[in-house]
Amino acid sequence: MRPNSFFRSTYFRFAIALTAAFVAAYLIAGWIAFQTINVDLEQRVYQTAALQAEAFETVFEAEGSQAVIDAVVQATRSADPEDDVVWFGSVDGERLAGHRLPNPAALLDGDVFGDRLGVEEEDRFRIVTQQMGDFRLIVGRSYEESDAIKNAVFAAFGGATALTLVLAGLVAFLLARRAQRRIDQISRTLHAYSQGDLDRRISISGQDDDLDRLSGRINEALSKLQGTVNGIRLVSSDIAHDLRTPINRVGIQIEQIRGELAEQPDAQEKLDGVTAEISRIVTTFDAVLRIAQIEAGARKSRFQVLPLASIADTIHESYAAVAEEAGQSLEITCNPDDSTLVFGDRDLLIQLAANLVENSIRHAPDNAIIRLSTGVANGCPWLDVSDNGPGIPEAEKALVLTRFYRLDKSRHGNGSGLGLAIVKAIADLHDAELVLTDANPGLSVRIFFKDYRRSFRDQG
Amino acid sequence: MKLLLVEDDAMTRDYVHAGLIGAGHAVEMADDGVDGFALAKRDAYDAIILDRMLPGMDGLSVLKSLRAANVETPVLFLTAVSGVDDRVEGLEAGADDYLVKPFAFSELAARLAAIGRRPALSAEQSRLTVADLEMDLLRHRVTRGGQVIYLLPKEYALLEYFIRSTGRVLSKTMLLEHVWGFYFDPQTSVVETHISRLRAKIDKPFDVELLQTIKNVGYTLRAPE
Repeated sequence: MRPNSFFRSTYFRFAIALTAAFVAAYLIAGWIAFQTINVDLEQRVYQTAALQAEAFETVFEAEGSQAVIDAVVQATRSADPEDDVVWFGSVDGERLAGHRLPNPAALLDGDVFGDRLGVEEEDRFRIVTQQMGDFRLIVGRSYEESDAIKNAVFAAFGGATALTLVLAGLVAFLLARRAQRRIDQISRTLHAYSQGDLDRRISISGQDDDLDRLSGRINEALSKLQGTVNGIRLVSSDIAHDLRTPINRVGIQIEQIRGELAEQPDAQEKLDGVTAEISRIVTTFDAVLRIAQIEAGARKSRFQVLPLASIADTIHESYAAVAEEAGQSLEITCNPDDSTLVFGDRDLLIQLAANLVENSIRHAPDNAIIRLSTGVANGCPWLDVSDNGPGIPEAEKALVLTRFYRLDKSRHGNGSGLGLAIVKAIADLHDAELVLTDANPGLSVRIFFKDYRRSFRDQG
Repeated sequence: MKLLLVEDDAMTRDYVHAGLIGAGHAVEMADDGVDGFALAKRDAYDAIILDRMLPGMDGLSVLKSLRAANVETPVLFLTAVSGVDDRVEGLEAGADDYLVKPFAFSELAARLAAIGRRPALSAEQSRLTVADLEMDLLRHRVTRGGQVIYLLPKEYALLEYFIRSTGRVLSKTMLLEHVWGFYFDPQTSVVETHISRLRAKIDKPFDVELLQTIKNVGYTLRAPE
């Protein structure tokens, strides 16, 4: 399995989405909990300050200002000004007891920073003030303790979130990878099957889950298809035998008649016609059968690694003279630096290239130039046959690859109409892509093969 | 040659038999695989003509059993089984040639002559000659009457096949298979074109024609009588 194909897989996306949703839910829940704790803690700080102020007020109402002063002195002595601040003085801000504050008159109820109380600036305090006759009491309570609790809660929560993220992610990744492996196995099996390995089936994990049930259904379909394909193979080889035997007998009888009518030139001529017709029947029949067999993947077991350039060379050597006789020229362009190695069947690739060149020779006019070339594009070796003949109209490009289709029915009636269909079947067998384009003027047929190493790998 | 013909179709058997007798061969016949195998194992033949689909024991099994029993008689499959893999399968099992029905008798005769026992050329022999035509395989050089003739690769391969089979008739299909590696019917005149080009180089400038056309059968390279 290639890593980037895993990251593009449905299962991986599913895992990411699930992990993200889980973490998001956790964060929202955490935020709400944290806010609740926060409000509660701040409330407690206020209450502590308010209770202290209330206690002093009780003293004031019962025993007067001097008692408060004594109590404040007492409280100041025992208090750490970093945590608790107490101040008692006149309404104008003149201190009678308690901590020394920079500007007590300006302090009002609410939250202030430490600098206003003459301590460290970053500390926050809750201030509660209390008017007592002509006096004023200021009680301040630091948030330090509640902030420490909040930080601890926050750290614990953050750690838990990170752990959740990692664990959920890991579990999702492992589950996704396991499911993805099974999907990949299904995918590989189907590819191998489509490449002609009809015995391949998807292995069932035994968990009886959705993938198992799907795999079971696919296997059923594959078995049925295999039965059909084998049936076709059997039928076509039976037909081949059953049809060849009588055709063979007809041929033998014609030979015998030929011997009996040796003295009659007219009859001999007619018999020549009959023989030619029989040979056409056999040619067409062979071609159809060959296409069927190639399509059924019969030949894959004999594949080997070979360079396209050598196929092109052989074809050029074989057809240069034929093209010349037809008043045309066959040129070859193969860059020797290109590695045109493909994994294929030499006999069939030779037939493929030969059919294309013969097509050009038969359809292009006198003086036409036919070009045979090989090369590599994006790691894919290709073979191309182009001519500057009449070409193929856009609308007919797909049709010429089908069986028995002839472009110009009046002129080239002697062909079987199967040449390009065989080319297509051979290209398909090699998992190669056949592209027809305008050579402006003329036709270019280019076949893109897979790199031989990739063909190897796909074969499993 | 002494030949064995194993064929279950009576009409084909009679036709081939009559043709072979007419060509001066001694022929024994069997109409099923079991008899065919027994005969082939018992007697020494120069070649066996074997059908693939036979009652009793199919042709491929007959051939495999013969080769397993060290019977190395040349075998020609004459068969209606013509799938893309069948020919290769037959040759891999040890057949020397493969001819698909319907066939012309002349084609069968040409192929039989090619596989039948005959004194083999020694492997070291690097100079092949027919009359005044000489082929030096090591130096890849062809001369006739001492005059150097330049041949293109396929013309050279064609001449080499002819000169190695001097005196035998080679059919068009045999040339296509042997020289070009084509196992299909080309739609253009590949063979005719190359024969005529080869002829223009090795025959035309000289008085005596060595490469001859045998009508309806094929071609042969032979020195005049």
